[in-house]
Amino acid sequence: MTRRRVVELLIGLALIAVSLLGVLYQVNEAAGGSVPRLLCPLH
Amino acid sequence: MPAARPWWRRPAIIVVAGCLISIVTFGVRSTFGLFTAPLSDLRGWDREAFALAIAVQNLVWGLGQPFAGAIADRFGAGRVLATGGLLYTAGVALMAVSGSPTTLALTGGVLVGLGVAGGSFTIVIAAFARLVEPDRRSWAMGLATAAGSMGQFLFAPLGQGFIDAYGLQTALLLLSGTVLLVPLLARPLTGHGDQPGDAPVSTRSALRAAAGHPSYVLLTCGFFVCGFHIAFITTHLPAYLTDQGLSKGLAAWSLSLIGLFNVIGAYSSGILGGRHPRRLLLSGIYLGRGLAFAIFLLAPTTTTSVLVFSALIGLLWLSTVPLTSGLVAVMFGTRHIGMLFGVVFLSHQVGAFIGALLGGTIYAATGGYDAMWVLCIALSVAAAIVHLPIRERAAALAPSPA
Repeated sequence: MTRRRVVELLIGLALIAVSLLGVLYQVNEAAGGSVPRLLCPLH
Repeated sequence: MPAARPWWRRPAIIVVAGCLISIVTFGVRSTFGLFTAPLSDLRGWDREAFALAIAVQNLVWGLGQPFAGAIADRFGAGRVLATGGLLYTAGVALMAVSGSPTTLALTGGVLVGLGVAGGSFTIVIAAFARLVEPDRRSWAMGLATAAGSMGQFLFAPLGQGFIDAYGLQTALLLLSGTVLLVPLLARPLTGHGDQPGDAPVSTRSALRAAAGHPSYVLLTCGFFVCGFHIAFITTHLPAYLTDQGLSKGLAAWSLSLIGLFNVIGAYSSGILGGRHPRRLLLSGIYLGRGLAFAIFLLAPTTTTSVLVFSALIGLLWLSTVPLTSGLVAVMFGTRHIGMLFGVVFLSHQVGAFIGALLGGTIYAATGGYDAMWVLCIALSVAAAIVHLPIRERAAALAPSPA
């Protein structure tokens, strides 16, 4: 695997890790009754 | 010998700055939902006041995007990003002191809408198209899209934390302060479309040439469908799930999973777009959406089917963005990329408006969403077909007369 592929993979994993934490936070918040509005940055 | 490139113009710095801009601009915007109920209660407004401001914001953003792109092409993305960031900052800060629904529509609607048009990812993507080497361009576009989506996850707890700790008005001021980072981060993304030695092509000539280019028209039609799907699901999926007897908690999981898999899909499509024909990837994405809709409609609605559908549709969510913007760059080069992608983006926003509105209209008329799901499937198939004949090569732009 080239250095470039490794960098792409690591960046992708970092994005997923941070987003996964966000999912857990959102779902935890939603337990209070509200549905998170975080779907699409275009709307 | 060419002059050495300053450190802040190195590709890695450009990509990091652009992604940070995406994170901040989309992140702050995604926190507005946190203010809807408490700010409305504080001011004694009904929820329609906030909804109107957000609707105006989307409209101004969509209509302003081609103009912001054209200005960036002419005068440089850095200036437009900086100006957009300042307008965005002013809009969010003034939301804190807006005393009437009309004022809120002007601040959170018009000012923030203009700010997002100038200061967010469409201009960042146009700057990447110019400043990042062609072999890394698609990856960078996917990264900017994924970063913006991830920004929503980052700013939701931050916004809630600000509200809890300092109250609504101070929270808005603090969020507006974070948008002030955009003008600072815009510096590495300076640069306009004109390249030394290129024959001049006016904005009007470029737009005319693009409008007469079948592949560009097909791409614009395809992106309309993307907006239609996304707005319909964003607006109506939670209601659809609760109508089916499922819990709000599952609706929250569904939306969150779409958001998570959207990050994966957007980033991956950027990488794939640099290695495979973008038109075929786009066709596959729309076909995949159609299949996901069809299976979801026909299969029994259970917790498992909802979660699987959410993951699938998340993967296919904004994965269209790096591919669509990349195709515009392939067809017309980078000189007018801001304006030409802005027009394609406007089509997306029109599709979004119709998708959200029609979902409500069909529900009111029929008492359900079945007809809307069928329409989504039909549009998926149509979008999959229209991308196939797109020519993924450079189109001629006639130089303007001297």
